[in-house]
Amino acid sequence: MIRALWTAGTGMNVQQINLDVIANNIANVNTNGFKKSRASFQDLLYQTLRLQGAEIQGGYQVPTGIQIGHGAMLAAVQKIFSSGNFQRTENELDLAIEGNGFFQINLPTGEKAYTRDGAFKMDSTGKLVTSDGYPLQPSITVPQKTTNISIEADGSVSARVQGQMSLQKIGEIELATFLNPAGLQAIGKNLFIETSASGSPVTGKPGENGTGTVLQGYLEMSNVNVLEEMVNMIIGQRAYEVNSKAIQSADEMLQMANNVRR
Amino acid sequence: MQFAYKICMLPLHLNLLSGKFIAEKRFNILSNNLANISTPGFKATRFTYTVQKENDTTPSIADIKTYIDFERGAIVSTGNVLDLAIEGDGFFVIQTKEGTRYTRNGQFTIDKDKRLVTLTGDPVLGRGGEITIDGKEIYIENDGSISVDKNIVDSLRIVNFENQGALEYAGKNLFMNSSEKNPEHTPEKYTIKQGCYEASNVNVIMEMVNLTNVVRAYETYTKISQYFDELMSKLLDTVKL
Repeated sequence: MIRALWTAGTGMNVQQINLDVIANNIANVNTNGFKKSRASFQDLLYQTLRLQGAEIQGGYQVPTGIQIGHGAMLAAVQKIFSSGNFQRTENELDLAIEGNGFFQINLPTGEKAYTRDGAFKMDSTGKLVTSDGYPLQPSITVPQKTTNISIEADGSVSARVQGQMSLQKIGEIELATFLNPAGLQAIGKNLFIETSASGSPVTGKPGENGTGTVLQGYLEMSNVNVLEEMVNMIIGQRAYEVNSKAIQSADEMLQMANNVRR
Repeated sequence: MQFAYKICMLPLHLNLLSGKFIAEKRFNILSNNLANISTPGFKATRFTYTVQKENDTTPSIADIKTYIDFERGAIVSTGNVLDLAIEGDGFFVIQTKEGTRYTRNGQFTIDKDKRLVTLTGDPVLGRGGEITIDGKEIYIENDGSISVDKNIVDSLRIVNFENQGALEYAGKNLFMNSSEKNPEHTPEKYTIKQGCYEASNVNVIMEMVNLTNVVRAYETYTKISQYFDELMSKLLDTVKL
């Protein structure tokens, strides 16, 4: 009986994690470049009381054994890197990637981070930075007195400076791709860092090696689908409920057992 | 006293005990099914009853045996490239450290060595062994052949068994084949669906009905126990041993 309590408890536990993941997805429904997560579960080990296929008297085999499971556990929380919708913003420093690439960001620690959030800003020196002030890599500095910035699909950035006739090329954006983006580690602030599971980044010009092209004046929205999350939330809540019922029933049965001797 | 014990208590109590014991086992099985409502590719445990009766004077003792219900679960569409579902019979073949395992859970990913693996990192086997995926565009045909950047690299190995009853749970959404007399073969008809996975086949309504049933059965055994307790105490009072 105690086992059933624990078994149903593991069921409630996984549903709780499921709801945690869903709640985080819903909270980020308007976060630029956000990628939703999915909790995935697996069954725990089984206690085998009698093995099927075991030989018994007369050379016969046991057709069905006895296996009793111990519940469920979390297998993985997987990031789903499907593309989000593009929103037109007409802001010349807003960039979206059409493809699988990531922008490269330099963290203050010296590490490199990767993001799909292309809402870049300028700092006091004219350098392109994220909303948190982390510089884009390779670094691009916009000269003073710039009136217009043009970013092409292949990543080349040009500026029109006041008093000059022609466009001045000020840098090129490079994108990184990963073999297994689902293996990237999310560190918050819309950033990811590489892990041994994601593989090393392959950098390249936008449009080469499947990195995707850059789109100026657009932002990639979150890829969270609210309807899907709501459906998952209802399923998760009901599953939680049904497991709590199992615990209640186990409790009732224990109570009955305790009341046998009055 | 000895006489009374022999006449009533032993058979009745043995019956009651086996009944209570079964109710607890059933309860454990049901709660495991309920805990795995959201486990992809999970197959529910079912049970049958057996009765052992050696001769007419000894009480019959009931017990249960478990088996795996391989009924198909619902196919959930996700649009993820590496979510696969098998429509029809068959299992994906997984190479774990403990040996070959089988699963209906088609949620896969790619590891750092570019192999197709389960979410816990065990490689999925193709017809030519481990499947290496090195490229961007992954497309999986209905027959299980995998094309990466328009080149066919391998085909998923899908197997089935003559006797699915010889499969047993190995945890981690996997099954293992417990009998050497049950060779695997390629099923004749199956379709691999990319962008979908198979959900758990646990039927909540059925499990809840069973659960209510078990609790009430347990209550009955308890009531009979109590009644028998009263009976015995009356008997002892009357006889004054």
